Amino acid sequence: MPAWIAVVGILLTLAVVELGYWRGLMSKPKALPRPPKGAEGGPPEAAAPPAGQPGVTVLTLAGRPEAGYQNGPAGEARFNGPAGVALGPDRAVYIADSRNNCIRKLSPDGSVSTLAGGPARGALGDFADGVAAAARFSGPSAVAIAPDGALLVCDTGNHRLRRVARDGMVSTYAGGDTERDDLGRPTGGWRDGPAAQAQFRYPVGLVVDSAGAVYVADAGNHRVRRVSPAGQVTTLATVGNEEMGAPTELALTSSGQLWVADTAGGALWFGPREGPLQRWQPAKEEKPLKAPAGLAAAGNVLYLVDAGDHCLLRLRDGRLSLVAGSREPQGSGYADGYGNLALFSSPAGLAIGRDGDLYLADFGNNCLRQIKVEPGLQ
Amino acid sequence: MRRNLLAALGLVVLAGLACLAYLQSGKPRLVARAQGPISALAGEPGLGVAWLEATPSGDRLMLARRWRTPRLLLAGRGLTALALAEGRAFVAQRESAGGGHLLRLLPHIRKPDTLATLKGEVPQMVAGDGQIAWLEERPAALPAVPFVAAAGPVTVIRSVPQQSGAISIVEVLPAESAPTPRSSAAEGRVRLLGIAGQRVYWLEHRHKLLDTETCLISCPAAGGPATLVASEPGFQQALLLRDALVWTAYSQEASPSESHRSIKRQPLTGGAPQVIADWLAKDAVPIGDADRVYTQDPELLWRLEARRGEQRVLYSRAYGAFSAHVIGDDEYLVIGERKSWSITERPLTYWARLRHLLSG
Repeated sequence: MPAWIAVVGILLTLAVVELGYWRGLMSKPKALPRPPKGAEGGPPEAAAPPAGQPGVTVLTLAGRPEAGYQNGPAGEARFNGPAGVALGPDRAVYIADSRNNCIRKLSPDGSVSTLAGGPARGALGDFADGVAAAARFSGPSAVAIAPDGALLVCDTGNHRLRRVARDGMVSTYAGGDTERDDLGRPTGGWRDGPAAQAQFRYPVGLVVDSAGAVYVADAGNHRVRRVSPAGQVTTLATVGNEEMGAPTELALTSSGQLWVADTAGGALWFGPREGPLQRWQPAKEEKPLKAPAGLAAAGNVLYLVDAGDHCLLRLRDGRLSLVAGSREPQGSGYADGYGNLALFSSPAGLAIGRDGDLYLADFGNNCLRQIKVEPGLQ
Repeated sequence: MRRNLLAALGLVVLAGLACLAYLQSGKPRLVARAQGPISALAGEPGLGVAWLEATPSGDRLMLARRWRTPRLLLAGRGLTALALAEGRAFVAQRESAGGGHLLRLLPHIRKPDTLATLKGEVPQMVAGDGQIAWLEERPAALPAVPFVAAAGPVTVIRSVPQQSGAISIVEVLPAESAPTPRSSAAEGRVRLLGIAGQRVYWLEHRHKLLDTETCLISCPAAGGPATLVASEPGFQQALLLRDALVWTAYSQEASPSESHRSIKRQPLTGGAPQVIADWLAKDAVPIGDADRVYTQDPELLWRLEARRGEQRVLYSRAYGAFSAHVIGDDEYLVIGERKSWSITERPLTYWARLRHLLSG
């Protein structure tokens, strides 16, 4: 008799405790306050393009700030970190779409297509020569047109220069194999000599002269290199060192001067195309450059992009002037419009068209921008 | 008569204990006061709870077995990530010259052995299925050149068997290196969720112009093609259970949907995700152990009744916590207030409360 009393008692006790426990759980939570509709959480509306001073107009030619990979009409196309831009003889614009590991083409009819390569998942690109779709790149960051109309590409992650022929066949223009790290990434190297055996380390910019010589910003080696039309690679000059500075973009003026942007060092270098280079000094009253990146020359006028100040500048007769964007702190963003009311985000590659219009790879905004400069202001 | 009396006495004692247990429910128990900020906490029901605390004299790995006083397992500089599994502690130690070591410790042996050499900062580590996986952040090859994607910093997910063996590269991802907050859309913030079925699960926050996208991804622990399990708009959080993935999503009922969160659950074997809770606060985070799911927001801890599709408040907090963890039947809160850091333990089930009561 006592045993069953104890069992019943224990069960009863447990039931009482559990009931209390569940009662606590069953208590209905306070209703969470609902915010007024539209008061929060919704995406902010995109700002309308601002009006400003005329003369220089910035437009988005293809893509939009949302990154992605999509071909089609320019407005629907998506890029991912466009870093370099070049204008072809066919009036097409070629874009080094660095994070999509491919070269894109904006045709004169306004459609975007993939010329060579294709996106790869993760941070590692790949390497393969071959027909356009089968070719593979690793973070291409600059493009230029060779005298024969072929496209030369800085295949930065593969430490090579690549050539895309007009028929779409991709081959290696300069740069050989190098060692690989534990992730399988080639580490690059520094070796002059025949193009096939030469070594580069993160080449990020290039320019081609009328004779077909290619000047390369070999950023990882802190050197400017030259690939002769005969295929010999030589070292022209040193820019920066392991601690500070590296060449990142190049331009040749009509007087034959070679200009070199040093993004990390916040400097511009110039000199004869055979070297040596000297550092360009802005006037004392001028705001110093923060992170010069893309360069393009129109005659002896140099246009340059300051990726740190998110703006486009012009260097004429030794004086800097603002063309588009803002040099104010917090001046990055995305806005089309007139001159200094337009906004960029880490702009990178720059090219200039025959009509004087500028084409800018807006890296941070994942799009291609066009800067129309009225003839009187060019 | 005497036996009846004894039975009644037993009954009274039990009832008293049960009432005490009930009365004590919700009262947190102090596990330890730390000598500095607590950077990581991990637990295993059989082993206890361990944490890393940064003291002025260096970092300390502490272990508190159940009902015992916390004790020092390892002291040194640069301890950054921690995981417990199968009775062992795994900790990442950064070297001053760069890189570091993944150390393995048995609680009763003070001298750790090296399981892997690290080549970057390790912010997080997870354990499961006989494997350890960790995030390794490697610096940019060309620092200060913002537009060279190929030379940018990378986040590497690597794994190694807990018993030692070959180190695998699970995935290599572009790291967060955006020069402006809204650029670099493909670069994501990565958080490991755990290892189940010999697969590593993680989430990536991919920044877009106006919003963030959260992707849940898995990949074989030994390396191989990655699989996108799910993606949700917005900045979401996720939790890996023994047999399912649980994550937050914009509410399906609220308007606007971003104002509240729902919780979705999808079995690891596949199938469509099911919404198991809705109308949660928009900063709700799912936490839990292998089987149970809770969500926390700054004020409340909720328990989700997945089968019934209900959510119930377990208790409301009167103080802020840096982080909350559910290990077994207990919730651990890491609390930091005015140079005072502590860890408290709170039972979440009746049996855990009774156990706490019996253990004093």
